[in-house]
Amino acid sequence: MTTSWLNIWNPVLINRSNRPILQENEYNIYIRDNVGLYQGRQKIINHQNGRVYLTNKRLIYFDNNDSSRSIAVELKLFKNAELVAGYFRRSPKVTLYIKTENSDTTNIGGNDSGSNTKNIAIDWVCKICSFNNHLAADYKLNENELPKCTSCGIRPSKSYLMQILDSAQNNIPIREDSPASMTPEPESVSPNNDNQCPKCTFINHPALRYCEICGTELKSSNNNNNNNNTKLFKVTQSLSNVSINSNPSNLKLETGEESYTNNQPYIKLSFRKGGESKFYQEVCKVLDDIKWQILEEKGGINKNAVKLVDNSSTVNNNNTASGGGGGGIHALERLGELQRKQNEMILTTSLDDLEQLMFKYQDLIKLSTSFNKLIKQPPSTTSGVVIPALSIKKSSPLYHQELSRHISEFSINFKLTQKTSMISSQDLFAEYNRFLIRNQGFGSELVNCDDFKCAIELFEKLNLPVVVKQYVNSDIYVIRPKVNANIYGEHIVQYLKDQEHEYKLMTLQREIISGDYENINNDLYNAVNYGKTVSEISNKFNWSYNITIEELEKCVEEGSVVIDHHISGTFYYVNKFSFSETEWDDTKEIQEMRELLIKEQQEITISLRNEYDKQNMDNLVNIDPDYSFFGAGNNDKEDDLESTVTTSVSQSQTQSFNDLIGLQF
Amino acid sequence: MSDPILQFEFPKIYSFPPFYTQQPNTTVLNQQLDSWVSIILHYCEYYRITSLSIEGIPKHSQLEVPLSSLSSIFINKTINRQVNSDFQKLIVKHLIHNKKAEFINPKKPELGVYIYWRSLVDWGDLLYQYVDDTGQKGTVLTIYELTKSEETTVPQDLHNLDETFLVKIIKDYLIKQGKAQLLIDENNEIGGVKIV
Repeated sequence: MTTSWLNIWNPVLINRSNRPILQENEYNIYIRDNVGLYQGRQKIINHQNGRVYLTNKRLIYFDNNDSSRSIAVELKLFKNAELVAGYFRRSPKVTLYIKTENSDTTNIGGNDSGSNTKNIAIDWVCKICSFNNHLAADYKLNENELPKCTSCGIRPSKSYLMQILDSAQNNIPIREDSPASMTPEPESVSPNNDNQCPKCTFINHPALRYCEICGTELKSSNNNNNNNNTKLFKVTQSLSNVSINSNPSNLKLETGEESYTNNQPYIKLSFRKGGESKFYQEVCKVLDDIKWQILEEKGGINKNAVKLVDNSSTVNNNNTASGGGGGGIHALERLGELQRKQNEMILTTSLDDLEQLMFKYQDLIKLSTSFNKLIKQPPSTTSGVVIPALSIKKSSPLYHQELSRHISEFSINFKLTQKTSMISSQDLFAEYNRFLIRNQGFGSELVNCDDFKCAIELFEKLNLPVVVKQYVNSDIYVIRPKVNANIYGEHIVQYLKDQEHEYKLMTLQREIISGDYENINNDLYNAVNYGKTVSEISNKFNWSYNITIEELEKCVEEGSVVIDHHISGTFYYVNKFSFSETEWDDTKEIQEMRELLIKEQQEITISLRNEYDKQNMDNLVNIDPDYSFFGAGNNDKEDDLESTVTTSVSQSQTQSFNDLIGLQF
Repeated sequence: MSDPILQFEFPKIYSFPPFYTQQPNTTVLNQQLDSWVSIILHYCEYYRITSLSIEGIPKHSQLEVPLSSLSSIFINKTINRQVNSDFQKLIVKHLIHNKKAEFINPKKPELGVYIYWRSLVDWGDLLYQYVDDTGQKGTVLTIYELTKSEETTVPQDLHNLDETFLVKIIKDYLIKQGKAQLLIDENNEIGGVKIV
């Protein structure tokens, strides 16, 4: 009697829309129509026209004719799938093989009694620890070694094993003979013998094949030929069918009996309108997933995970160790790369920081410019001259022209105030930017060199009152008023002449006062006192040194000024090499200067005498008459002076000094 | 000379400080050099100096004046100025260029120059006139006789003339004119002069 596999089918819960209700964590994978079910080779009656739902857990058959016939089977009961192609009128099918953990039992059930004899397991009990050991069916005492007890490891004696083997062989004929000889007595004893364990004498349930206590195979399964036993066996069989091999779905096969190819149980699904290949692929995939889940539950994957974690941790340890150690070329390269990356990071972040700073700066500038309106402007030192701010953007094409006019206005009002004023471009650039800061505050934009150069080059084009002039030797650009062009040399010569005249005048004055006439010629021409240096001329005309040097070189080239190199410095003089003899003779000039000086002295003398007379007049009330007489004498001398004014110079000098002596302060 | 010697009066330009600096302007420089030439000639004529060193120190004078008292003409202590050596050479070169001076020995310029405040032709004519007036033509005369003689017949202009200068006058002018001959003795020295 074989076991039925119809028990794998279970009923299905159906909702009102005629679709199966899925279990927890269950979802549909594939749905197909016009499918029929097979149990082995036989068709399942009334289950040949329906839909198949393939989910991640079950295979659900939904009958189109009668929904109450819907059945399902767990996919974990199958071990693999197979695709069978169609052939003429045979539709293609997918075969699902059922897992058979009890296949040996089935084979045993199907075999003859002879095979049962061969497959009987011989048990022997260890006399020391009384453990129940098993021997193989084909064990031969003479050929093989003595077996060991699996519990205590001690081998039994040969005589004992021979008895066991003989008893195993003799049991069968003994049992066969005893029922024939003693009919009434075996009937009363035989039920107990069949259920009772031959080893431990435990009385087991008739349906069991192995002892419940010690696991020894019972004899009930071997007594098929006994009629009485047969009746009991049939009862047992029916009981087992009811309890174990029940058919809950009441499925009926076409021929009434199950039959499987190669004795392997399977089910088949017939696809009458295609879809078998897709179903086959999905089924294989689902079965693989189920196997994988089983592995996870057993812990195989976790072990791998732990190993991987260990490997990764060890790898990390190796990396850190090698990085820390710094040995070898690769380590050095790695260090270099790390350094480069770090540098790149720092540079990029610094550039971003710079950009942020620039934005902040622009915001601050806007704030400061807005505050400038609130601050009161301090009163400017220069009264009356106010230059409005240059309110024009740099991007405008008129910027340079307006800047040029602005600079021109600034120059005329503040810098080029004298007739002979000049200023170098560098000085003007500095002064103009200072002017912007002073007037418009620190938030204003200063002028840069390029814009300044463009602006001063536009002076001539815009017809402004200032002009740019270049000194070729020293490569200096100079801004000066347009009116006073090319007359600087004359100013220099005039200045030198004036200085010489002043020197002569002072010399004569000193001579007259001291009364020394002999050294006049030598002292008059002691030249260190009236030659002029570059710094003195610069101070006079308010020029810079370079400008003065340039102008003096021009005068020297023209021949109006000559040079005197001395250890104490370089002095410049009016050119006298072209003087004629009469021009060198300055006696007339000296004569005139002497007359002027004498007149000055006379005036001083007269004023002093008048003051003296006033004092005497005030004191007349208290002074003796003789003193008054002396005052009258002075008046007489005054008359003499008036008469001698028209005389020669020498006499007038004598008279003037005598008059001074006569005062007698 | 019995008369007291007066100091030479320099012109006013001699007290002009730029006079002692070489001027960069060419026109002014030429004027400056001409002024120096004029001053040197007048100075030498005043003191009858016939030869001058490159540094401007007198080497020989017809007057009985101690030459040590005369310092270099290029130094002016009153105004604390002097001409540097380069400018001195330029002034001497200008004198030679104007034929107012000549090197004593062309191969040795450092020996000094003759100053021709009176030209060689004038000197030669003066000498010839003296010999002709005294009726000594055709007779042999010594160099000493012509320059250092105590006779009162030697004119004032030729008295105490430098011997080397006298020889130069005779060689460069009178002999070329065919008016004189030099007599050489055994010692290869000039023994006398014969004016013909």
